[in-house]
Amino acid sequence: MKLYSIKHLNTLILILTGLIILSSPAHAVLEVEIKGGFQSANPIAIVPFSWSQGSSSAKSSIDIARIIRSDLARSGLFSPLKLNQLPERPALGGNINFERWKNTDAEQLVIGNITPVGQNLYEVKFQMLDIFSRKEMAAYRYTVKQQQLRRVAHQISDKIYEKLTHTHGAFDTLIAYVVVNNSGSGKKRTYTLAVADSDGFDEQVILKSQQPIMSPSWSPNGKRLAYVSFEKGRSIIYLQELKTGQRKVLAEFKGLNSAPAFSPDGKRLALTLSKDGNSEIYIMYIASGVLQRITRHYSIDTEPSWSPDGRNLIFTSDRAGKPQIYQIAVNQQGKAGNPRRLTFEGNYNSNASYSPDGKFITLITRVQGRYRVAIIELANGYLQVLTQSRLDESPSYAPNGKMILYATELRGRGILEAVAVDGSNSPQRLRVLSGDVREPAWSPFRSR
Amino acid sequence: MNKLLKTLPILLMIIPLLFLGACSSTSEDDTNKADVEDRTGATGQNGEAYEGQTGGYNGSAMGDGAAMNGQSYSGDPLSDPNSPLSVRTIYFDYDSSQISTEGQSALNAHAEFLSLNPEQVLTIEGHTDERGTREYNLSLGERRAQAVADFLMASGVPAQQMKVTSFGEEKPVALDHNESAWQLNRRVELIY
Repeated sequence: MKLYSIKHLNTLILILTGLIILSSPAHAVLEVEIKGGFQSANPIAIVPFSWSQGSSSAKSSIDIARIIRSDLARSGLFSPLKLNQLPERPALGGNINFERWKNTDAEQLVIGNITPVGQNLYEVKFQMLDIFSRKEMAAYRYTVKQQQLRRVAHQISDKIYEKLTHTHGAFDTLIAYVVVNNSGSGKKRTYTLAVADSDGFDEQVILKSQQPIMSPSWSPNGKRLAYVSFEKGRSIIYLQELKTGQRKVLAEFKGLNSAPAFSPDGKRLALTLSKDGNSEIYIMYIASGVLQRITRHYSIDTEPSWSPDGRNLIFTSDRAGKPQIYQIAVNQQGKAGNPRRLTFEGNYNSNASYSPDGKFITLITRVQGRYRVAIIELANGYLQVLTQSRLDESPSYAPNGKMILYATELRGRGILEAVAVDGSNSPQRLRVLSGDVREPAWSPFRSR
Repeated sequence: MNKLLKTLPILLMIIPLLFLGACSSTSEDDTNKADVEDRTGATGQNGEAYEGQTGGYNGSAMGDGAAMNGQSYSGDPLSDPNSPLSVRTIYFDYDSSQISTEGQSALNAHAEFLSLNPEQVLTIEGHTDERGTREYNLSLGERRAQAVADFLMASGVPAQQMKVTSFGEEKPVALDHNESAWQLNRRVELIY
């Protein structure tokens, strides 16, 4: 990595994080199409992790080194050596013949070991070495159950990525999305709310319904999803624990119950209700159900999103005739200011959300009749369109702020795409094997 | 749906002609003389009882809004394909909740029917095309449905006879991604 210029590195960082959904049709529901290659990829050697002590029955079929290799390769930032390019397979703590490694393209060497340490329990250790200085760059140990081995692999990918790019990795994250399948007649539809690992594996179905499901929103701790389901014939907001599947109704007022968004402290939910006549923004305290009305206007006010410091909401309103983005200050008592218009360019700006650092917002903007993902730098109001497509929706920042995942349409199919926030790469496409996928929501960083 | 769409222009043409007959075609009991605002300027919505005879609307003679006497339909007017009540979809322009003239004439028929049948409940379901963002569209669909409900209310239908919902862009009837699909999807459905 040291051979790369700063400029290069930036590009690498930006691209890396977004790449999240990989594919292996046998296991992954989402598949990825990486458009264009990245010539600047950094060669790195990931040696297959060795097993110690265990009888063969204690071994897991999960190949950690392989998952790391595909995480890194998929990013476009790294080009892991192929197995037959490895001059040796050193064990962790064993001798390493650095002279032989210098003859490869690799700059770093990752070696690891897995030890069964009890019933269904494994210790995973790895070390990353700089081939030229022979110094250890990183070393970590994890003790996990078998079903967490895949996740450990993503965590190791994050460690490698962070060490080499100085940016928080986003491999160990989740994505929520809605898949819609139309049956042959086109009349009957199935809606599935699902959550998958960052590489598209281990999809968990959260809810299946014959009626629409919308607006999945992650709790800040990544353990719960709020969403809108029409299973009772109208929009109702539910809150569901991912681990247990347990759920409860959060809002079933008369009229619309829509657009849930967790506050950064996880205690409140911004939402849209029309119980008082038309769509207005409210804040609900989740534990008590106490409601605070934030907007009061005969126009549509919806799509609230919290600033990372919890002091502002941005929302879509057509109070000026066409949908535009507004910001309003809020505090524990509710509304703490008057709405201030943030967007002036174009006559359709909607569904905005803050970047994790609070300095930007992403939104959908209409450009010559096309609906595209854009970002606005709040300090100067400068709007930059990031995509070339025509029906983009639901932009969602990666938790490290480097990529935006959104839904769009390609040749009649609903797909997801991810684009770097600086527009430096072409969008990575993520599609489902059948049906339309939409409404992506990138999870927060997971607690480790 | 397609069939309905094909016949829609025809239905719209004959609505003004048939309007009175349809609205009177409801009740067996003559007592049900709701106070109905007549927006067509036609006369004679007295809810006469009638018997017999299906499809008795041979319209042209009634072009000036003359009352229809007894030329009616004994079945359920809601299932009469020739009734103006068979118009169950109101279409809208992009990002608009303005009800067109055609939409208004269809709604006048429903207003009268509902006024004459206070036990009937109408579900008014708003929809949008796929352009723009989903939550905004959900609200826009509700605004369309509410505009229809407001129109019906102004025509004398009590609020408790109506249920307003929105599905936004979630339930398109046409699945293509072009204007001809979009204009079919920008709609309010009237569901009895």
